[in-house]
Amino acid sequence: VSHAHNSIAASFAPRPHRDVVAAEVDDEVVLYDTVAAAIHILNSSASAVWFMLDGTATLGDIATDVADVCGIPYDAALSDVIGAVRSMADQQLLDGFKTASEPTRARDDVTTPRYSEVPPNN
Amino acid sequence: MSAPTVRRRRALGCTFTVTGDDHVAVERANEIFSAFRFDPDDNSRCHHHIVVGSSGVHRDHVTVDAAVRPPVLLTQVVGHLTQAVVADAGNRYALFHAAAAERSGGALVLPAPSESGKTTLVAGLVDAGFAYLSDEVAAIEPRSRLVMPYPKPLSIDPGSWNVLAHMAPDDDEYHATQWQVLPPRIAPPSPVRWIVFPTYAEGEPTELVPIRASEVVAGLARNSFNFTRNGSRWLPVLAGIAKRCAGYRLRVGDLNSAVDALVDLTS
Repeated sequence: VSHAHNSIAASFAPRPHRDVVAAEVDDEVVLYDTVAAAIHILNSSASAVWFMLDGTATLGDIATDVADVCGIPYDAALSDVIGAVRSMADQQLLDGFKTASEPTRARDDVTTPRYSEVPPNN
Repeated sequence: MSAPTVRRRRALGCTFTVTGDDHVAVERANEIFSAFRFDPDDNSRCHHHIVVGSSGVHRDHVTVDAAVRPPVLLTQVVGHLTQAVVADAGNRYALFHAAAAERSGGALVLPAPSESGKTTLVAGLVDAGFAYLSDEVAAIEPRSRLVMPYPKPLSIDPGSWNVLAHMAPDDDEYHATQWQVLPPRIAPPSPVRWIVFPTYAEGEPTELVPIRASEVVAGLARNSFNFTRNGSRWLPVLAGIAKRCAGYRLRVGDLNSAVDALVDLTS
C-alpha cells in the first residue's frame, strides 16, 4: 500500500517499515534502514511517537496520549505528532512511504570500509 | 640466510603463518608480527598462510601481489593479513575501523576513516603509557564488550615521521615508505569505556566535546567493517556499547595536546 504525504492526518495509523530496525539509547532512538544502509537519529519526542506506531493507533490516538502526558492542548500535540510522522515518511521509515528514489531528508549513510579492494595502510 | 622458523601466530581467533623463499622478508614479517602470540591450546577456527617470495605475495594460495619490492612489502603483508582477519572475525566480533588503547583497565576506542591520524594518535598514547590494542581494527566481543587486541605493528606514514621520530626503525629498505613499529606493551582484552571520534585539523585548537549516545551508535556504524552485512544483529550491540561508554568528538590540532586531552579523559 502506498500512501500520499497528505494522508498523514489524525485518522492515519502508520507503522514502521519492515526494513527499518530500531534501538533505544537514552531517550533517543537510532534507526537503521537495512536496505538503504542509512542511519537515522530521532530526537526524544519523535522517539516517543515512533514506539507508538503499530499500524492500529491513529495519530489522533497518539496525540491524545501525548497531550495527557505532556499537559498540552490536543491540537498542539496533534500538530507535533503529524510533523514528526511526516518527517519519518520523508525519510522513508514508514510502511507505504518507501520508494525506489533516494530519501529527501539528510541521512547518515553507512558504508563499509572496503578492505577487499584496498589493503589498509592507515 | 637459512630458512626462518615457521611461526604460527593468532589474531582474533584465526591463526596465520608467514613463509616463503624471500627469507629476509619472512624474517622481517615475523619481527613485526611478534605481538601476535600463539597458544597451542587454542581452538582456532581458521588459518591463513601468507607466502612472500620471488613470485610476489600470496595469501591462501592466491596471488595478491605479483611483484612487490621491499619498500612496500611489509605494508602489503600487513594489509593482506588484516583483510583476511576482518573477513573471518566478522561473525564473532563487532569490528570497527579504529585505533584502540588501554588505560586504567578500560579501553579507549578511536574510530575514524583512513587518513584521519589514528595511527599517529595511538602512537602518541602508547608513548604516554597506554597499552596498545590496535591502530586499525577494534574488535569488540558482543556479550562481554571486551576490546580484543589486534596488535599489528603501528603503520606510521611519512607525514608523521617528524613527530614520531624516536620510533624510527633501524634504517632498512623494508621501512622506506612506511614504518612498521612494534609497540612496547600490548593490552589484554579490555572493557570498552571511552569512544572518541578523532578528526585532524592542523593548526586549530584541540577540543574534546561530549556527544550523545545516539551519535556514538551512528559513528560506530559508519566506521564498522561488518555492520551493513547484518545491521539488525549489530544495531542492538552498538546501542549496548554506547549506553555503557562515554562518547566524545576530538578535534586534533596537534598530537601533544590531543594526547594530553585523552590522558585527562582516562585519568
